[in-house]
Amino acid sequence: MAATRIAGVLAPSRSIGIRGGVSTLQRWPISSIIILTALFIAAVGAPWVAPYDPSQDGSLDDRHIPPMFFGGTAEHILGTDHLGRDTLSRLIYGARISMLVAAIVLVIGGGIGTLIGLVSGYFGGWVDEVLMRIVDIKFSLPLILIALALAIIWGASIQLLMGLLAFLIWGSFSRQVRGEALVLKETDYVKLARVAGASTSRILYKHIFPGVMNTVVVVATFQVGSVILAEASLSFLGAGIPPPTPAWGSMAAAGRLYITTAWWVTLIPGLAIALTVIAFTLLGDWIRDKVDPRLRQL
Amino acid sequence: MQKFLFRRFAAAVVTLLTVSVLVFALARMQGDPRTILLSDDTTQEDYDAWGREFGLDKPIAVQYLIYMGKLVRGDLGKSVLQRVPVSKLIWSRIPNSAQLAALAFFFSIIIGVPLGVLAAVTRGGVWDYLARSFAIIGHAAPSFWIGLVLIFVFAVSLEWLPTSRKSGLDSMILPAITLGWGSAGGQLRLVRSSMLEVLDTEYVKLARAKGVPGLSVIWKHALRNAMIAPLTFAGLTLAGLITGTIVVETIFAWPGLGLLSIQALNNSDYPVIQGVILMVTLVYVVTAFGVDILYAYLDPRIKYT
Repeated sequence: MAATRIAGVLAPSRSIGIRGGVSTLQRWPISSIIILTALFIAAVGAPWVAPYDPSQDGSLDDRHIPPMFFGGTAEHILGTDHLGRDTLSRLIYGARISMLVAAIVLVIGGGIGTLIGLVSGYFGGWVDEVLMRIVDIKFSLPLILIALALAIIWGASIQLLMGLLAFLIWGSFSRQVRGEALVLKETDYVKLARVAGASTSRILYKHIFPGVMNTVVVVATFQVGSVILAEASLSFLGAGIPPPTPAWGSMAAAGRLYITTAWWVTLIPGLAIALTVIAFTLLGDWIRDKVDPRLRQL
Repeated sequence: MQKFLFRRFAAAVVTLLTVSVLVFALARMQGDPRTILLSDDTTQEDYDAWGREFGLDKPIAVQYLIYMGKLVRGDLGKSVLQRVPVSKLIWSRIPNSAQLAALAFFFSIIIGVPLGVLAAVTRGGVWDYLARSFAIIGHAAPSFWIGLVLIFVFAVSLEWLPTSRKSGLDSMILPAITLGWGSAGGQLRLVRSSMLEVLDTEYVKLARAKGVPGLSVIWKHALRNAMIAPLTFAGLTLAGLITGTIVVETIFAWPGLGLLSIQALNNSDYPVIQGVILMVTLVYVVTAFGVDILYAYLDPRIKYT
């Protein structure tokens, strides 16, 4: 409930952001593109790119080999973990899982959120009131704790995780899309379509949805970061992607115990997460300023 | 104004009720509580007697009302593992989480606000760049990673601060920074953008034109007016920090609500998690409501409907 208020309050500051950012943001986000391309190659081509099998335990001598530039060898560029598994290979397979989860979650959460936003904005009245109150409630739920509760009841699983993450993000899509739909339904072409006898679903799909598409893309780019962070945190806590699947969050959690002797095992996956989220955030900034600077408040 | 407050209050109550229903439904999804509480060799009569005692023979709606009746009286059930009332466990952990959240909040303000001002004043310069880098790290880096890096640098390598557990004030520094970094970054960005806006207004230009010293313009004329949005953010930060403590407490073995929840996860102790969820939602809803009220008085320019 308070978050809606924030959005309203922040609105005036939009113009400043645009003015302040023109010189830097008009350029291509090169670093984002490099990081995301690497990530994409890792995710799609994991079996070919990864030098080792990510779940293959090494011999005793292979344990906790440091990264190449910290006393290790070129055989394991990013070192090995407490079971002698190659960190780089696990990181690459972890990228695959993260990207897969993020993609599915965005489609489900974004789809449902967009649909609710369209309906809420287009119909208005009590439908809008009820749906938006539900969004408000969603924003005040302690999601991590609910994830822990569900993990106790059903056990941690990737399906449960994706459901939770979809639930995490749909509200942001709904709020933003609703605002756009409110404006679009008053446009002449929508009114004309209605006069011409177009059905409600046709108007929503053919006339309003294309108008909110830009917004959906921008919101989605920003939400990728939240999804990756939430997935990592839940995996770290043991309520996300269950082992032995290599996920960045659970890699960091497993390596945590050895931080005094083998820092790389726990710190490298976290760094990968941070770089990925930064890349998506900067890309989001850039797309937003390209397609619609009015969304500055996001 | 009163209508606005009433609506906010009603919304807060609805939120709390929804969460109570959700938590109740989840508890029932876990199955009949008797299967957990009673041993396998309990006789059928005893089993039924327990059912009557807990009201399990009544319709589900009545069961919910019984459950709500207990909730209102502060009875959150018993921990499956420790056989202690959940409310007692929670009360014993709240001070620790609150201390951590308070210190993190303090950190986010004393770092976020001045750095935001600095970034706005030196827009496009080195300081602006550094401040924004600080903000984006807080936004993008997972808190467990920030915590582990801090432990590695300041506790393991430099040995300046303890790695974990609660001891003296020095044991609070790393957890508080870890917890507060994200909100400090958010605060920074907000202060920066609203400062930029205010610095561009006529009254600030006038103040400069009539010869008010630079720093005085920034602190007295600009910052006061730029603080409204960040103030709301601060209130919500406080609420967000309470959830944020879960990860941070796990890393630093900090004996608060977060660690309690993780222990509950590892022991499949549902009643404890349920209690923490209710408690955290209550705190969040009350804080958000408080911020709304505070806000209504602070900024007369905003209309409430």
